[in-house]
Amino acid sequence: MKRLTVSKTVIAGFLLLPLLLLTVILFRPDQAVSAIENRTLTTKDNLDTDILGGDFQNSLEQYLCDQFPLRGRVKQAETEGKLLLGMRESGGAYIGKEYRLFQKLPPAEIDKAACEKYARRVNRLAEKTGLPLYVMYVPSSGIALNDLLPEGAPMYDYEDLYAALSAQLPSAGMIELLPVLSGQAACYYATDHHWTALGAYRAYQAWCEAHGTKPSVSESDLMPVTHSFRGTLYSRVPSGKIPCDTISAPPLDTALVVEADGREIGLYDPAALKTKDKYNYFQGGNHGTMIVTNPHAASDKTLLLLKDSFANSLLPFLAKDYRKIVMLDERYAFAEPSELAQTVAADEIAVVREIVSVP
Amino acid sequence: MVFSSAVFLLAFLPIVLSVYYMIPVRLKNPMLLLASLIFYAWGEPVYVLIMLFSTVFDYGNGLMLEHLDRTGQPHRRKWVLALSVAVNLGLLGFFKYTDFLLGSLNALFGTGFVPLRLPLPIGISFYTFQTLSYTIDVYRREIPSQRGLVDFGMYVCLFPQLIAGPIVRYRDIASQIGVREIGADKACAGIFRFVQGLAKKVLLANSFGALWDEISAQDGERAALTAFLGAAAYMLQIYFDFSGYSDMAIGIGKMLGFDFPENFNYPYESRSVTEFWRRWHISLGTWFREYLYIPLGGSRRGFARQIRNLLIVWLLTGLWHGAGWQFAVWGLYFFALLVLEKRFLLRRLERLPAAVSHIYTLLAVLLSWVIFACDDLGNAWRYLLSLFGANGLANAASWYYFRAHALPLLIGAFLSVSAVKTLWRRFLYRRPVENHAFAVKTCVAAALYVVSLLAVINGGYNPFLYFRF
Repeated sequence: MKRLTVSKTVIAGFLLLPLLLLTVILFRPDQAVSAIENRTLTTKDNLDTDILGGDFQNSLEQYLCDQFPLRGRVKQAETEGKLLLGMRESGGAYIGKEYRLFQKLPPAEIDKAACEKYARRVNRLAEKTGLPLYVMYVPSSGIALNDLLPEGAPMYDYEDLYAALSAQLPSAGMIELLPVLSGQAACYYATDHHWTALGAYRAYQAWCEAHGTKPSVSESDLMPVTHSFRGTLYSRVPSGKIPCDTISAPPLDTALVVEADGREIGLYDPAALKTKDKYNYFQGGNHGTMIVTNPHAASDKTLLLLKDSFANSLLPFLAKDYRKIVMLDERYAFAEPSELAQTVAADEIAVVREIVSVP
Repeated sequence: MVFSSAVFLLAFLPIVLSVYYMIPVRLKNPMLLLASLIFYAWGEPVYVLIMLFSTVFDYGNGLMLEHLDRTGQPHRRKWVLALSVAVNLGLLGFFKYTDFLLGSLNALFGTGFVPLRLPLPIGISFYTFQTLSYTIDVYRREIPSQRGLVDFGMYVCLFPQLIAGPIVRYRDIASQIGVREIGADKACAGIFRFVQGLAKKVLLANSFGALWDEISAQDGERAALTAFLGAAAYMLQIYFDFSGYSDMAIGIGKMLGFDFPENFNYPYESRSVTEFWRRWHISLGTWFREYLYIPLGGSRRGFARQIRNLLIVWLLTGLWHGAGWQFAVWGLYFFALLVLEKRFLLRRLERLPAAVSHIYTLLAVLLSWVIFACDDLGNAWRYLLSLFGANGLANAASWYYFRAHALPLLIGAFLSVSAVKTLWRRFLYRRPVENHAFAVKTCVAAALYVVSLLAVINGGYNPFLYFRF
């Protein structure tokens, strides 16, 4: 071939390849969700229309990226490439030993002041209501399983944070979880930032010890419900090398009634096991307020529980012991906890959340 | 619109080029103007009006300057120039420096001016300098004025160099506006150049940038080794990002038939700061020399005047990069180094082994980037302290960063000097590769293009660094 013909071929390729891809994206039916990344995708139908403000332009860019053919494979390839270069993190997740994934939480990402502010608020709540308050701060998996992190990977200073928050909570009974979770790999998922049912069970044991009661469930009651869980961290670092997790849960107590934001739901949501985010098996995910009533409970007490998603897998244990548990996730509901405590006639207040999370 | 986006790569560029190649010559300039306006309005749907105003205004000034010459009123020409400079710099000053000025006044005198908080029109510093170069050159009678509004508009708004340079002076491409050679070989060379720039930006610069962002966000726990890795990462990020943009601009220029001036020439292999600035952002240095340093008298009126001129030029060069004191300090830092080099350092450096002068230059530039990249002077100061070991020399995190990033940083450093080009050529023009050099180049470019495109699609960290310029 003559040089000029070759040049023309290169130019044709450079123009036609992107145009071909563009055509495929535009005329192929849109994908609504990305299973691997665990998020909804931008489709033609939800493009923004504001051109002057620039939102249309941004959503179109997002649309082209989201609907690009084989997008999931590209993410996988990125992870493999980084591992090859010696990098042990990607997309905000550390890739630790045995390919366990950890949420990357270096000191700079922790808003200590906000955590302290929240702790003060909770303490005031206990003082105002005069009710007993228990606080369980869950250490992040990278703290509890520090040995499995990539060597030297920066994480926040748990001891320092825990001490600072405890100092803000003089009225609380602090139930420290690091001693029972530290080094227990089975207490955290390998592909998700949450704790496993076993981790939640260890916390439940600590809870019972602090309350001077006996656990109503034993460890051997935990039953696996799926072996193919790949959690939120996997979505950031998809790779064939990363194994699947098992989700377990204690058996269902059929007398339980669970009401979320005024609607009856199940303590477990088996439908979630068919989706990507299988952790939503626990009550179908987060809800603003959830009320759990158990007529067969070991006590007739009412517990007001201020929580994040870690509490969802702890709930099946606590539900055995309380007649009524009112769960408030302040990220999704704007109820004032002190008023809520009064309306539901709470006997006890508890906070269960990852130590670095603030509503 | 930025080059490293799906909209640009998948839609804008291939569509514009296809149409451009198909239409007759007389329609090419109007079509380029239209495409450039869409390109700019995509990201700045409102501020595109300012650019249009600048265009029409300086088009008029050029015509007026020539009209005054023709009608025998040359003494009035300086007023046209003064008006043009005042309005152009006035717009730039208003959008870019008002809040900086008010903030500084508030800090100094405790006044309570409320900042305007106007977003800066992207690329205003670039196109303002381009239109100024036009008016000044017409004033100096070095070039004739441009009669066609569309042709002039196309020059000012031309999308390849619009938002991140190089600063193309009108005289550099005046002859290409009317007639330019658009050929397959040139376009093909342009594609290779574009792909090279794209890969620099999305494969190298973005990943180094993510490391810098993480390390610069730390404070008390940042040991010297960590700080060094972070600064080195930024040093590579800004080079690959900026020179990558210039490569893409020059490459697209070639596809359209233009020859833009080069903007970077392996700056990190310089042996002095003086040499560094002859190799870094060449079009900006040229602009300041031509339109500020030399008119101020340059070095012709004694050392004291030269110092004053250098001081003005470098203070303004600093502030051109952003409205903030750290940029002023950054400019003055280079002023000090350049004066020292002129006075005695350069002569000494020449006598020293090359390694010493290379290390001196790299360290001097590394420190400058820390000042440049931090949000404010306080952060820059703390970063410099940590670089010099205020938080210890190394800790567990330092070694984590070292293990994860030493290899990519070394690869980056290697790719930032001309050795890679020399080796590549040696490989390409030796048998048996020689006979297939073009095929090899095409394959490498195709692979780089696809991987870069996938990196863009994949999302992740993809900043536009020149929003402050």
